[in-house]
Amino acid sequence: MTEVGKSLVFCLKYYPEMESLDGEAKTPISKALPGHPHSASIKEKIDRIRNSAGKEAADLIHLCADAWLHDLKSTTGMELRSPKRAATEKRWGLEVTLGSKPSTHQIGIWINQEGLTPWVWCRGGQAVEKNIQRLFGRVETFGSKAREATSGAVALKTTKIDWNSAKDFTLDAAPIVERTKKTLKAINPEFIAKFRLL
Amino acid sequence: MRTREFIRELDRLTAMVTTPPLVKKLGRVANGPSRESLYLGTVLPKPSSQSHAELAVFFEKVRSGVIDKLGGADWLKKVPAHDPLRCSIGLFETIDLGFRETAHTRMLAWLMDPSKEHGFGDVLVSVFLQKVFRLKSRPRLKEVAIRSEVITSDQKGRLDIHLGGKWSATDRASTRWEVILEAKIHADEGDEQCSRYETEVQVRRDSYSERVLVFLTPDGRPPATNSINADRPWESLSFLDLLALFRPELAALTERPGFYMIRHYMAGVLKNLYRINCGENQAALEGSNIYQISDYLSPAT
Repeated sequence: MTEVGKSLVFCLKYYPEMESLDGEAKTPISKALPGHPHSASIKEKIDRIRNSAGKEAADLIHLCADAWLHDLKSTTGMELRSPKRAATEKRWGLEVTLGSKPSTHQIGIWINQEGLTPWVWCRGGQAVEKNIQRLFGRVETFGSKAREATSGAVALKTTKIDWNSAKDFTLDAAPIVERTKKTLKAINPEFIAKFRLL
Repeated sequence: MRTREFIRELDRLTAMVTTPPLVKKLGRVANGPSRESLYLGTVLPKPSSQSHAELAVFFEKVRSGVIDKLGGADWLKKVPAHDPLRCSIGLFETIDLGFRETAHTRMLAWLMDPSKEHGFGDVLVSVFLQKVFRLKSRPRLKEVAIRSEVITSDQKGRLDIHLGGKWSATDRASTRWEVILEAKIHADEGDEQCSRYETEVQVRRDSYSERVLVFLTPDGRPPATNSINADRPWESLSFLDLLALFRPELAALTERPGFYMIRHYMAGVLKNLYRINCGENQAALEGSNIYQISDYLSPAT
């Protein structure tokens, strides 16, 4: 069984705590636990888990997206500019730019507490979202005002994951990957051809 | 997003611990690399399964402390049935407007406006004014005018909500007051947006003797484009702060015509902006963010 990484599951199960103790947030662990006898060891654990979770998020995203991106590239012959892996690890998300500069069209996947969500983005703000949704036809989509997203982004159906149900932080990746791949089929060469004209 | 309740509970647990001096010193110096550096090449050893288990025990201890504070195992039963936390339907999400700023600001302007059909009178606006002006008691309002989407003098911007009027209080007899509220959900501030609003209030030279500018966001962050030397500093407020402010008033408003409007609006804010699984399922609520729920139910004074 291919598992979702334990650190990623942990971070999403204890999202409020990890977010509150985020080193980039207002309360680094050393301030949140002043003088706590375990503050050093807790901080070390948090750093390791957070670091590992980023790598595991990138692993999961690549499991879902690599074959899909490969197919898109070979079928369309289009240049797909993927970010460095470190960026995917940091963002827990993949942002692929279509064509050469400037970046006007992007496709990708993000991971958050709800699960994995494929998305597309096009320059043009909210006005362009309806056009993108129209291109998807009967596929279920959400504009930026229905979801927490940048304007111009349209999300596809989220592969929901109940992180709390993972016993010992163990979760089988196979059904998650399978469902996400199924959703990604909507972002196909036919869609991309029309999408790039927006 | 940082939650006050999480930090409070950590502080409480920390205060219960007697710290050996040496460990205290080690704790202070152990700052470690920043998150940014972790992702840009620093290699950390993979955490052991034991690390996950130990940290989980620690976090569960903090969570259970918060649940105890809320009222123990059946805490949701102690929350009044009319409370938006127990309502699973959000007003704006039904029409895909959960994140639209103008939908929120227009709704807030409507809810606080005593002249509207909701029947709340000036209850909500007076608790809001008490908070943003930091008054000891609620002001006795004589006049209130609330408008949303007000075009600025230079025609280049819109004030999300403008509130103006007159109050009387023992120490502030017939004072004219004004509030300018700017709300942001996801969008960034425009170029110099907040400092332009500061200029706006100076240019108009209205006869308001009390004035406050409010920056309303999901995380209660301060504005980034205000003028550092502004005479009128901005009051930062989160949507959760605002809900916690309105919440104690709801019990007296349940029979008013607009009650279900505010109930569904508040439920929607909790659901959309804070991902709280509102409804009657206590486990689902606890699975979302128990700290924010606590911030909402028992805000710090």
